[in-house]
Amino acid sequence: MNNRLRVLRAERAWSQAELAARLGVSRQTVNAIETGKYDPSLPLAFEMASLFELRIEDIFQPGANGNADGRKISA
Amino acid sequence: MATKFSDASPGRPAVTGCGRPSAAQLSWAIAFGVSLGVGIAVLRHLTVPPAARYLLPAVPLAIGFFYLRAMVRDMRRQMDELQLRIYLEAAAVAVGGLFIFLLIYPMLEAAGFVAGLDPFVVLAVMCGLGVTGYLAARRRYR
Repeated sequence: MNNRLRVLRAERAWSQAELAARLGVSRQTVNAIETGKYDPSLPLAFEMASLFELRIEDIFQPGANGNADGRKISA
Repeated sequence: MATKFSDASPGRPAVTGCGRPSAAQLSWAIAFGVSLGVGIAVLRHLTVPPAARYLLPAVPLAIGFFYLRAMVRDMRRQMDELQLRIYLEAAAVAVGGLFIFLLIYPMLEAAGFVAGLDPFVVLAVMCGLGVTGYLAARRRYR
């Protein structure tokens, strides 16, 4: 899954640690999501959307090669 | 330790410990170790009444229960979803690997490669597998 988390964070001049604290997760989790190695749960995705005042689909888009686990996303 | 922000999402406390054991968990772990050591020493070196022979092993068992409870509570309170996933993968490697090891061991024993199974070997294998699984999972999500 692709996401715009890094861009959205940079627009607000937040560090990964700062964003992690606002979301109530660890910095490692923010980093893993930004690099596409981990897809967040639906509740966490909703919290991100709420924090950035966007819709989930404005932050996350399905990737061409499936999600972070390497599983193909069916259409 | 993560900074708490005033506008942090309600209902989701900031991750504070990143899986570090709390003081309660550490205390129960120390109490478990002490009760285990003292219990073994007493049972091996002193003559104790029969009632005490039943009671002494029950003490570390009870303390172990409270240690486990504190550990699960720490995991629930301190770890976020990625950290839980990493721990889950490590636990799967440890349990699954130990399962395979215990199934294969009688075959190795029958073939004459190994002697009778020592409980401490089981413990060492389980710890080794758990640490390996944890490091592998942590590296994957880095």
